[in-house]
Amino acid sequence: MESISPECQGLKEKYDKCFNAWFRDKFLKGSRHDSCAPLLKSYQQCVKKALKEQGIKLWEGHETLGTDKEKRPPKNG
Amino acid sequence: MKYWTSEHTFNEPWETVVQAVTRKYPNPINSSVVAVDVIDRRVDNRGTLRSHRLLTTLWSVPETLMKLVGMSNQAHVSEHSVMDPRKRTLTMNSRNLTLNNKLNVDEKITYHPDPSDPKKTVLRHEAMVTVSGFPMMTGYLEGMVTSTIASKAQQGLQGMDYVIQQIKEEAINLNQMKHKKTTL
Repeated sequence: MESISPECQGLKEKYDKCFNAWFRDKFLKGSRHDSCAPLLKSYQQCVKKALKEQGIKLWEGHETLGTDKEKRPPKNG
Repeated sequence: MKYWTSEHTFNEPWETVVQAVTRKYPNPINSSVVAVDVIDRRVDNRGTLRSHRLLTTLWSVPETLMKLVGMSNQAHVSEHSVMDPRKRTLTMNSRNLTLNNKLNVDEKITYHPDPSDPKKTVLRHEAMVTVSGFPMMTGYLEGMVTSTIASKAQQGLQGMDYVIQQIKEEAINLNQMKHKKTTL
């Protein structure tokens, strides 16, 4: 898969490969230690630079997603 | 504002389906997604995997609308996801970053095991479309965008099936390799 910037392509491919194996063999089997974090870091830095250059402003999402504050059906009473 | 929702059941367990979600692109059926980048990803202290991805797509809005608002054909989407492997849930929220002063597409997709058969997975897709700045045409434009989303969602399911098949074949090959190693 392509990266938004050709400059980040190599870093992305290394990270994606690491992540896919980690996700399948570790995370889904109960491990929580993210061994791909160092690869993500250098890839992330590259993408952030590209976003700045291209003037892309991200959406930071719903802060409460997946937390206890996420909208839930009201409790009884 | 126009609301659209749809549900689909995959005949695969949640673990296979979420692998396909993370590896969905590229696939030959959903070729309008041209780039995917991970902006942020971490395992939080609750053991859930939180990701923020940026998707770059060739805009699927009908040509009439594109001409009307004078936009380029590339659009960016921010997608936030939370995956809980213990509860076996995946929730993804996404929003368009391009042209968002005139058109807002907020989507929420969840994947969870089928309550009546834990070996199957239910996908629930919700979309909220809001067009502003075209008072006489709001309903018409929102309807147009919504039907585009519906047809893209259908293609998305076909893309998922394609990737699920790939993952299943890989698993068979991996097993065969392991078997060979142990019998050597």
